[in-house]
Amino acid sequence: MIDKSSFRLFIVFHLFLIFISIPLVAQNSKFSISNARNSAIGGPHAALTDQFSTIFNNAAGYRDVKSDFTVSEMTFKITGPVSTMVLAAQGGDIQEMLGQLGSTSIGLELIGPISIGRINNNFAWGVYSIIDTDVFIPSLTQDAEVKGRFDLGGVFGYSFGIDLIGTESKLDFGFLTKLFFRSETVVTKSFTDIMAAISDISILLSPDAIPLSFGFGIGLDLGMKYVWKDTLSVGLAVRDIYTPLFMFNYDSLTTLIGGGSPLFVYSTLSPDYSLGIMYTPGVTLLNGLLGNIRIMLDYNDIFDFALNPETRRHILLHFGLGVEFTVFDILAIRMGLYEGLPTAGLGLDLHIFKFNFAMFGSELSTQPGLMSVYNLMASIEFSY
Amino acid sequence: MKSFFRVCLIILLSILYFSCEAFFTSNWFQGAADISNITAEEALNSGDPEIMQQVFDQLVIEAADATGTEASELYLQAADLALGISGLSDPAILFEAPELLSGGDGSVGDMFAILTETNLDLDALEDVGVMIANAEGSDPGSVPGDMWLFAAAGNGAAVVNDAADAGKNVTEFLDGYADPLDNTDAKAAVQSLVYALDVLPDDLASEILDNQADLIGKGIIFP
Repeated sequence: MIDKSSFRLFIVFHLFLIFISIPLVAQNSKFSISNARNSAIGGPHAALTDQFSTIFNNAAGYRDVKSDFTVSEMTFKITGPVSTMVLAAQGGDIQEMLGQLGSTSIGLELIGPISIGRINNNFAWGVYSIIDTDVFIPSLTQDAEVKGRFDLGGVFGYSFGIDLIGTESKLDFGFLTKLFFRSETVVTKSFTDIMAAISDISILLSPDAIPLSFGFGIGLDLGMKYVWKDTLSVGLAVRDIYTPLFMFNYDSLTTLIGGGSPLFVYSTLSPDYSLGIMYTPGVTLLNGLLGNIRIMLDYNDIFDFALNPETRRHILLHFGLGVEFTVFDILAIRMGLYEGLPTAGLGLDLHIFKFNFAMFGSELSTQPGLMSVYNLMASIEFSY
Repeated sequence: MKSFFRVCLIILLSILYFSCEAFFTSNWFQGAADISNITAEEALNSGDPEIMQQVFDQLVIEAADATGTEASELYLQAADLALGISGLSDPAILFEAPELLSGGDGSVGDMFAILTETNLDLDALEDVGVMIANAEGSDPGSVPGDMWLFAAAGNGAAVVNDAADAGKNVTEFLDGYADPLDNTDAKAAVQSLVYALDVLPDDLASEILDNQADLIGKGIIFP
């Protein structure tokens, strides 16, 4: 059992990390793998830790996973009013298509082709590559932002716990360490530049116009999970409790090639404390047709109000609700609500080969409904 | 197996039905949004004129209490919002403009057609010109070239509004002046175009530069 002084030390350690993080927190992208399953069931759930794809959900959960070796995974994500634009383009309505560009964000993310890892005997490891691009056009008068990011990194974690005798429950703890290398470019251009670039792409691709950043980050996730009678699970995930990022920024590609000096920037990623609960009734419905029912509810980023006071999000945007069940143990049906927006998807589990698909909204504003964007995500996975 | 396929079919049909962007981008908690503390950018992104108007009003009050660079920045944000309210920040307008302008006979009235023949909110557009003038007044040289282009549209909207108040169309209204530039708003519109020379199409910029001596004579200042 945990004694009082250890618990006190645990609390003090957390408060210390929050305190030192506050002045340094940067709005940098996290080194984390989003996947179609999580996206379809209302975001990552701190109490859901049943397979390799949930490696970033809660570091305390590796003890629950029997053995999962993923040899390859590819995940594609498209963000933005894609279908509206495609329909408008097919109908020859270029005005409507370009009209969709205003006040929106269009993104493409690819996880893989490097994506391999294993969870076995309480240990977890993984190596990933992530390519993420994003175009954000706030309005005609504000500069548009074109972002590109490439991450290559690895994670290693371990979980341990105790079975609470006589209560049919157990308490698990765990950690996940990360090391990743990042290269990034953020180009800001006026809308007129972007329009001009349609006929002359060199406006965007000129070596003088592309700033570049290189660097690396190291990170730590902590987790705690309580499971009661394999029916009710409560998880506390502390993602990026301390994840410093060391970046070297070159103002342009020309500066880099010319041997110019970079600007060193140190920052930390914003920690995310999330609390979640999962109910697994353990029943089957319709003569065994429907099974593996899971209902999950999370409150994400609990200390957002303290860590990011200027950009703190509305309290309702922190909730994530998800439901998952399987049909004949092969087809998983998923739905949920994340950041106030509906999510849905399905998964096909053919043991070695898995396919997951998700459709969901994400809220880019700090208030509900002010800037909701549409996302499509699909992943294929080979694991055993 | 029959029931399995039935269930699959129902599920797939449901997915097809719900897989529209509107469904997945309709926030269930939209009614709970607190817009008292949102940024101008968030208000713009909402696309909701009422939200933009509320934040615009707030910014104008804050800008009136500020000075120098701070005031200029606030006025420029307010100008952005006024543009959003007017509807001119819709990129589709850029593609309508040449069509509308090329359809006429090249008269001054046609130049204003873009303002009268679209569904722009001309009062809000007039505010754009006022906000940009305030920004320049608070911190001279702080207004970027792109914004002067929108200031010209704002001043043009003021001309259209004045003409409407007088019960005339723009051509009739400006014919009432010995020179159209004797109208303060028309002069401010041309002045804004001069400031926007860097971002104007080459032919229009050349035309303005060709008329430089004439415009200087009418009180137009070149930066």
